[in-house]
Amino acid sequence: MTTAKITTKVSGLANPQQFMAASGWALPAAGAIALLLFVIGLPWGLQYSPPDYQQGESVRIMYIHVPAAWWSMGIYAALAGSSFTYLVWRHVLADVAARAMAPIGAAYAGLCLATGSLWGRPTWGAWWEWDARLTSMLVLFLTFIGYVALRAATDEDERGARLGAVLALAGAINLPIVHYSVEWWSTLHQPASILREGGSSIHPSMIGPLFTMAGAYAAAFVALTLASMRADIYRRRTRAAQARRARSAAP
Amino acid sequence: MSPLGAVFRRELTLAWRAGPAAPLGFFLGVTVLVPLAMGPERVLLAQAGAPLIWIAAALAALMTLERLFQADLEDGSLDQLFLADASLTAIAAAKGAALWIVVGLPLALAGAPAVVMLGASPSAIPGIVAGLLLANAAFIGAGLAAAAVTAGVKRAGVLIALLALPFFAPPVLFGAADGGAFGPAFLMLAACAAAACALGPLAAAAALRAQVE
Amino acid sequence: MNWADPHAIYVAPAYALTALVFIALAAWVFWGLSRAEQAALREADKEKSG
Repeated sequence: MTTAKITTKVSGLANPQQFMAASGWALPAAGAIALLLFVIGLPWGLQYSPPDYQQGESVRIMYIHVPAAWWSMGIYAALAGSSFTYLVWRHVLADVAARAMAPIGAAYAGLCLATGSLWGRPTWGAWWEWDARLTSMLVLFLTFIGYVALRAATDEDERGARLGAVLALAGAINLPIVHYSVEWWSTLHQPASILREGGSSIHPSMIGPLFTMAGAYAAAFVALTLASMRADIYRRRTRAAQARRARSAAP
Repeated sequence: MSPLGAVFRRELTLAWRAGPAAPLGFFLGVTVLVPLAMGPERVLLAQAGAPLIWIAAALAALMTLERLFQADLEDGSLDQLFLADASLTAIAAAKGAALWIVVGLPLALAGAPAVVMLGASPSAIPGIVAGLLLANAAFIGAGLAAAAVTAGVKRAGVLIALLALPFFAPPVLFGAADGGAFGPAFLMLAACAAAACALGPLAAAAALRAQVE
Repeated sequence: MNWADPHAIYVAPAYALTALVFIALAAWVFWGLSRAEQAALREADKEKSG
């Protein structure tokens, strides 16, 4: 593809009109998929899957905790990517996307922490441990909160968007720093058992509900983000229309 | 004098006028309050006392961050700095360096009596003072970015704390882990300081451009 | 799901919390969307008639 074609495609995506048209069908689709996967996954995890040999019934928390962990990190990557796109190409839609994703990422990270705590208490005997994984997830949660707080404190203009983008990218650098600095100490959290050489170490009967819930969380994220973005675009339209009316009304 | 030198002199003068009194007072106040709060239990103080130096230093550094860019943004000096014949990154670094000289150095030296007050062995003093010098550099480096991003925000104090604290965690962690022993944790602390001094001004410059454009 | 298992007492609140968080998120987002859409439609009407 030539540079000209790529630029046209990308700037086409950046067009709010096209976004509204595309999200008009994408949002209900994502919402329906999310609902379906939750309806399948929640009972599957809660009732129709086997308990763990060692952990007993508490292993069921894995199905709601692990997808939250995965996607909170994925959402931050998307936030950093949108922020980078905004800083470099100044596409308004990239900023709209970043603003929309942050509260959802915060919710997923918070859910990961809370469900992890409920899982840790029966299995390790502790509500919390300061190891690398838990601490860096806490920092991720605080970074999301900080981003939301900054966007709330700044005006909804280009300056606020640029500042938010800088913060999102600075936080992206900080996350591995925090992770490895804490990992310098011993870690209590279970080492990687899903994406691992030699294949997953979890029982095949647990993969079904886990990946179903992972899909549910992903579809929910897409649906919620698209809805938030649509709301933001409507609000911008309203503000622009009000500004036009104010200008034409002024003598 | 080079433009950057002039900027540095300006920053040094401004930082000097604001002075190290407030963060120093806070730091020493905390180191006095902690043993009082822990009571006469010498054992408890010996175990938990020294790491609190790092927390007190982090919070003291946090106090000084607002003064980095807020005033300049308000009175328009920031626009003047943009016109200066020096890169924005270098200007941000100059601000940080001035703050480190005026606040970071005294704070590190105040670590010496703090070590004694918090029940740690006096042999740890050189290590902790050296560590505090590095940690303050790390706090200020990261703080430059947080302050630049929040300049112009009303009541930015809490927001600066929220944004800066995740970046403050590694230096506090390594400083407390070292405890004045010049061990491997000290090297990690030095690495944090180096990273913050290199990346902090860069991020701050990006944020400043976002502020003024 | 064996509710007699000693670990079961942690599972129920975890699932309940998850459901709550998603319902709350969805409610907040979609209520915001409908409000924003209404406001935009009102503005569009004003522009047409004004």
